[in-house]
Amino acid sequence: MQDLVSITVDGQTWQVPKGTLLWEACKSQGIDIPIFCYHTKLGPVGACRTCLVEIEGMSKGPTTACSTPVADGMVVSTRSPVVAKAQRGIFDFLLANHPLDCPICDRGGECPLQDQSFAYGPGTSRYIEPKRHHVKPIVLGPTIALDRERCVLCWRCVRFTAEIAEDKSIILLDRGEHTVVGTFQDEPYVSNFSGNVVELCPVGALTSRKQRFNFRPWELQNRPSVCPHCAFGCNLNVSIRKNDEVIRFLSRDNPEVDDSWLCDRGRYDYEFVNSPDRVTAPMLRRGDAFVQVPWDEAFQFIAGRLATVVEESGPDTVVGVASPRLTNEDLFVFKRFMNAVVGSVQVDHFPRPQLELAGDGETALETLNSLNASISSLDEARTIVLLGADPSLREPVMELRLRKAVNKHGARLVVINSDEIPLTGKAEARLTYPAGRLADMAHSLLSSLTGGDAPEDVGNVVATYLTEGPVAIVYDDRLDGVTDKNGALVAIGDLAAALGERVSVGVLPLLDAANSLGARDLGVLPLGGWGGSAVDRLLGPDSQVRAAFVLGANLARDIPAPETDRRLEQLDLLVVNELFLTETARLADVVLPAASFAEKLGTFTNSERRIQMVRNIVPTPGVARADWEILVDLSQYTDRPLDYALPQQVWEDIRRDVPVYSSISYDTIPPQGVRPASLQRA
Amino acid sequence: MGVTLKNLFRPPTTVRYPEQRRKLPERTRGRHVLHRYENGLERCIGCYLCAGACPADCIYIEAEENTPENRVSAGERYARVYEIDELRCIFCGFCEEACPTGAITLEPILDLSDYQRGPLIYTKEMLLEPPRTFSPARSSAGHASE
Repeated sequence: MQDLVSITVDGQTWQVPKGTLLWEACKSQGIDIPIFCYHTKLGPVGACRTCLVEIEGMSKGPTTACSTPVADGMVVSTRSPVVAKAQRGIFDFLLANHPLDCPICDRGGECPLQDQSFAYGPGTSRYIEPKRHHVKPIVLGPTIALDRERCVLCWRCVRFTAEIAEDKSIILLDRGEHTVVGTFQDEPYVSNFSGNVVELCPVGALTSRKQRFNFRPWELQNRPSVCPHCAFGCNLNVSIRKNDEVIRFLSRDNPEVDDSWLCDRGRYDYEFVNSPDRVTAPMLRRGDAFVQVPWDEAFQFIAGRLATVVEESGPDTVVGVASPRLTNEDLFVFKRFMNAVVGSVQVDHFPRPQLELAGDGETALETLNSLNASISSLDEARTIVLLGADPSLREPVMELRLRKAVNKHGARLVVINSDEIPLTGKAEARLTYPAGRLADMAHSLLSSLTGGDAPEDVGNVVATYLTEGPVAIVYDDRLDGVTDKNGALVAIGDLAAALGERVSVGVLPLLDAANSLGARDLGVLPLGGWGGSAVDRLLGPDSQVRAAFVLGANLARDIPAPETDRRLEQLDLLVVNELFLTETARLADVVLPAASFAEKLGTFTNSERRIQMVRNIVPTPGVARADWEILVDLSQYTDRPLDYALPQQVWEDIRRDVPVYSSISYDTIPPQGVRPASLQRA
Repeated sequence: MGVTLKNLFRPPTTVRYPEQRRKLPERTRGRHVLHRYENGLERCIGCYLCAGACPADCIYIEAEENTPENRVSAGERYARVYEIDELRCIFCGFCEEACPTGAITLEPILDLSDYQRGPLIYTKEMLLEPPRTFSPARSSAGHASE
């Protein structure tokens, strides 16, 4: 239990935990104090001086609420004449050199400087001298433009690059009134996280070059969603214009996952939703070209061909491959469609680790799965081991979480990788192994742990770091470039299990796509489980497969071989649900237009098994529909129709089928998503 | 009879439109005109404030950045697309009030008619006054022929 102290602000008295900053205490009680430099995630600096308040008994006059911790019996006034005069003075200073080009400023309309000047500043400026001028805009890097005239020197961007991303690229140059924001020797600001400084900037000084002058904030509406690009599952606000155009992604703070940061890939890769190249109607192949047809005709064609194939050579000559970018609802209906409607057990998701998994590989996966830890448990870990994993490449925002765990919570980072990775510099200990030999490394870690022989450096790392919990292990599920994938996975699983007998262990995998874990949980796997592969069956040399349903997976691109194209072309029936005419879709007999993540209601399961909801934010282009709706409609043309009308109904069936999801219902998924009750202690 | 004779010799109150036009009050709110600075640059900076103020939502704008090779307006930003649907416009003049650069004004131009709806969506080229050397402030631009 934390110590509580009692404070009085503007006549209101309440209790707050000791050590809370006065500004945070006031905010929690709904008392508004203007602020620029302070940011909840960045901490106080006291640079802008707008949060002045008067504290009784403090002789030095108005003081900054953002940097003063509360004390018992503190009596504060945020509205006294002294405070109001001081704040007016500060705003007069801030606006003295501000160009007031609000009509063309991208921030105009959602600008804290506008809002707070209006609320706390003087109506008119007393400054009549010519304003300071700078070249504008300055190109700071590939993504960011800087306008020094607008800058109020709040240090937020500087602190972000120094404390959060730790690349220290944006700095303050010169001193006193000549101080400006810039980069050392005008080097370009290149970062995976550059977009965050635009969102942090409380004025329009840092703007996105991609979005410059594209919109005005008052046209936009923000809708909550989840990033579709990786399995970390950062929360988003999707800004839309006129109800049908996706304009930008903003971060939406989820302290359990993204901690309010986004990577640039997540932030800037949104144009596909409104792309004019989207498939907007069902298309049938006629000779070498596609013709657009009504749904009815496409379904009749597919149902006819499918019936012929099933009748002639049995249902197992039909395979289904779905992308783990689809929602749980899509994947579940897909599996049911293949199993119940077609009668085939050959369903799979792709990409996934293509392991030659025998029984032990599957056991290893189950072990790792059962140790699945939450992302926020990284903050409590004593040691974090990156075992052949590079989060900066795969799930970039995890890099920021790891930096935070090390800097703020004293976690010890151990990087075990064959290459240098961006987080190597943050590591307390480091082990390397020859490229591809992850299995050997995991074996020697295991052997050292269980008292067997191991190289000295491995032994030292194990003795120093793995004997004290909690330990968090981050491993790369894709095992790119690893020579013995099966062996590596088994070794990692054994290591985790052996560690788990000694200390408390959590495992976070780096997965392929936004819903890889969902695809696993739903069991979108062929007969033979992990060991089997519907993709191999489809593309194998003496393949018997005659028909295939491919949902969003781009086989022709991801398995580049002339054989792939030839096999796909030879099929009697290739149905592809896609957003675009991809390499695979071009080989199809029928291309069906699918809905993107912003156009359907559904759920994603991220790498910590948090169920998060994506919503239909914009209408689909043309007659495109969600993948599960397409399959339900298609099943009406067979003699075994599926009966789903709403994603809720699908989810209810998922709950019945997948025990781990049974505690979660659509109505109770909060905006920040939820982990299954059975996992929440981890 | 007296009334008849009196009215018989009064001059007509109508004019022969369109050959003749009545002089309208200077502040008549008719069709919009986009103005230029004396150096020929457009006043409009594509800030969307007129579109934001418009109660009929009849103004559509897409903005873009000026480049040294293609300088259209005085600031950093200009309107690449500027369209007003004159059929929707209620001629309230809010756009004129909202404009920070005096780029848009409602002028005494009332002949807005066509056989189709399409041509009544005025594009930037149709709204923009031609480049000229004299002051672009409110002038005789709207008074086509008296």
